[in-house]
Amino acid sequence: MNREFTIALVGNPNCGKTSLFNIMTGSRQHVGNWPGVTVERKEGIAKYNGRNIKVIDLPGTYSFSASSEDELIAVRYILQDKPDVVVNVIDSGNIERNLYLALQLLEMNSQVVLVLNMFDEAEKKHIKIDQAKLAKLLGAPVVATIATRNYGIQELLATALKQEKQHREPLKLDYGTPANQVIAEIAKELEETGLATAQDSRLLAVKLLENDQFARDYVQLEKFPALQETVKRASQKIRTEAGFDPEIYLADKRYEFISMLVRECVQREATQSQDLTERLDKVLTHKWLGIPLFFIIMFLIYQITMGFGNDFLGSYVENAFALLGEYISGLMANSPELLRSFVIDAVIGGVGSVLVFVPLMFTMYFLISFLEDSGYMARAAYLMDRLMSAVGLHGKTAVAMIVGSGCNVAGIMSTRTLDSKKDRMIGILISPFISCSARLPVYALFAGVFFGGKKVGIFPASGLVIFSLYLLGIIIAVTAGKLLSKTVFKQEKSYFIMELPPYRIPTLKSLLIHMWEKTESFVKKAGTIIFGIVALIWALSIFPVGVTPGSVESILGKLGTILAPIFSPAGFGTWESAVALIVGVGAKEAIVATFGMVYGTGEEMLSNVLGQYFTPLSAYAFMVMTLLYSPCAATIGIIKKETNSLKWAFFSVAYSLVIGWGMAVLVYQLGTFLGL
Amino acid sequence: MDTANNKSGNKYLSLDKVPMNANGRIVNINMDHLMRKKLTDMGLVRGTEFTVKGQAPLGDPIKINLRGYDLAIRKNDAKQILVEQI
Ligand SMILES: Nc1nc2c(ncn2[C@@H]2O[C@H](COP(=O)(O)OP(=O)(O)OP(=O)(O)O)[C@@H](O)[C@H]2O)c(=O)[nH]1
Ligand SMILES: [Mg+2]
Repeated sequence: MNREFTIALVGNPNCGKTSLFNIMTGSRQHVGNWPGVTVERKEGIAKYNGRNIKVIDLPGTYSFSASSEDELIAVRYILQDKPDVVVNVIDSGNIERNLYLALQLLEMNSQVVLVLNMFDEAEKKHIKIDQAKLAKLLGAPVVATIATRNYGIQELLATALKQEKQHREPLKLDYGTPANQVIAEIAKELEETGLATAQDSRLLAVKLLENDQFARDYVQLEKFPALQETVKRASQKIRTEAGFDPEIYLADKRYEFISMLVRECVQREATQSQDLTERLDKVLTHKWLGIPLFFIIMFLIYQITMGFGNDFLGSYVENAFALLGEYISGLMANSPELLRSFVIDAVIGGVGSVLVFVPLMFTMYFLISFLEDSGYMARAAYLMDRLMSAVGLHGKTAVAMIVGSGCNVAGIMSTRTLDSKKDRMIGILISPFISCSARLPVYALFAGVFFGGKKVGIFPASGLVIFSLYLLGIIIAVTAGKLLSKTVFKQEKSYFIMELPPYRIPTLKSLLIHMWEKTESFVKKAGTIIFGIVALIWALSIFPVGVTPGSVESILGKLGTILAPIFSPAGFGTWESAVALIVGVGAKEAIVATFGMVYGTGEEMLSNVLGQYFTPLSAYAFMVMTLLYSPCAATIGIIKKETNSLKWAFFSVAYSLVIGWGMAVLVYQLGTFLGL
Repeated sequence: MDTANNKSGNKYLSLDKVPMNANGRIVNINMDHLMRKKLTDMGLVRGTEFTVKGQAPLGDPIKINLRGYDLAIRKNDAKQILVEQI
């Protein structure tokens, strides 16, 4: 066998799998203190003693079965791809619950290493774990780690490698009679029919007996009547002889065994002191304060992003770009006209207008990372569930919305943690209304030009304008959610069961890494996708040969002129706006880039000239349009992928176009009527 | 059923009715297969002891502590879980 030695990180949500993965492989995957951060499989390479080890990071799961899409990915990977070693990561401070998954993994006939991660937190809680005894009782090696302090990682890799040449006796949990016997029977039949291998037949037998949907689908039980009959008879037998449903009976047996393990291996000293989490929750989820605080926190995030990130830091970058533009156009005074136009209009004017928003991006991502790493994200779901369920949504959708305010694609991915199909579909379809960071440059530009410098109370007016757009996005999303839950998805029901992790103090390092990652991808996108789009429209703007580049006679101008009348009722019926909006479907930042190219003059920054083309009212209408009118190409793609349907992707574009245009017109007409 | 007492004199009630900071033990989970399975996987089964730790603003969901961690569950779902207060 020539394939790489592969280990897979499996464990409950939020136990530190990705943190371990990052250290082992030197990656910078997203870590956060809430269950459900990782929703897809990630691969990396770790090195130990000169040897390459392939490491797989998986979404978290509480059990070897799947109630949501992310869990399905984890469980299916283990069965189908058969990693050489399953590294079961356990939150040591929470060992009792984590062992439930461990017992199931240990029932497989494959190599397992148990990792007691968060060992520091167990110590802090005065929990002492006898590792040697645990290893002996479970028949698998145990390693203690602290991912945040890079402790125990080398030992983990060494232990995993050592399993290569070893044989492990699978755990044969004693389920009592008659369960032991019927499990063996089902397992044998599974192997005989070729539905399972010696590696997983026992585990699958137990799961079938539990009537687990994932296991039934996995072996395609309905296609094997004989096996179905065996399982049915076995269930009946347990029901009559033990007096319980096999599902309840088997879980009881596991928890009994866990109680024994805990009695034997875990020592707990009772502590009376209230911990940080309890004290913080008293305030942050307070009966009266909880929801107002939530909105204040969100409000502050955008005020700081605008006030500090954009107005303060951003002005330096903008000045630097202006100087650069001046310098380069000076240099290029004698260059060929076309080249000059490309560099100054497309590169500096277009891509440059996007890049001036880098400070804004990293300020916002720094703050959002803080929310994620502290543990407040899970509270957001808890706090908002009541309000959300009043309109037919789910608390976790609030998390998807916050994640989506970074990037809609990420928000849509994070709906994978929702258990019910209905909640998930609605979450996916309303996500694009949540204002993402790519739209922020558009607002920042317009709000800066038309509302900049003014103050309402102590808050900058531009910040309030932008906050109003975020609110509008949320209101539209919630309304759309309500309508969808009343019409298309009305029959399905949902529940809210969620772990609330303890608050953790975010490390500066992880905040900076996260911020850096996101900012880097923003810059990369500007340099690739945005650059590509800009180059394309620049080309359209110089043809046919002979026209003034970027004028209304160019192909670009003619195209825009055809569409412009559609937007007249919204106050921005210019060909430039029409072009910008079309281009914006590719990526929303491209709207700014387009204006930068067609209005900008290189030396003069876009913000200085925009005032000639919009009024504050039409600028606001334009921002509303930008917020709502269509998901960007990447988002449309992910909607298609996650709903597995072109129809829904198309629906999402169509209904948001209608809503976006309608709202922009409404704003402009109402504003005009009121004399604004 | 709400106020029935059992042999040991403990009060039987549904989980959503347990007062703040009170301890209890799960007696029976009477919900559909999927939801019960999720709770089982997360350590909430017959016999599990818990403490009610709080409720979200507007009174829902509630937060209970079991096996050393906090779990949030809607009142409407908690209604279907019978517990004894201890
Ligand atoms: N104190 C402490 N915190 C840790 C340790 N390992 C991870 N964390 C923190 O625990 C939280 C969860 O870490 P992740 O690595 O995202 O956990 P995960 O298992 O990948 O989570 P999901 O992807 O949601 O399943 C983060 O806030 C980490 O900083 C540890 O050993 N000690
Ligand atoms: Mg993860």
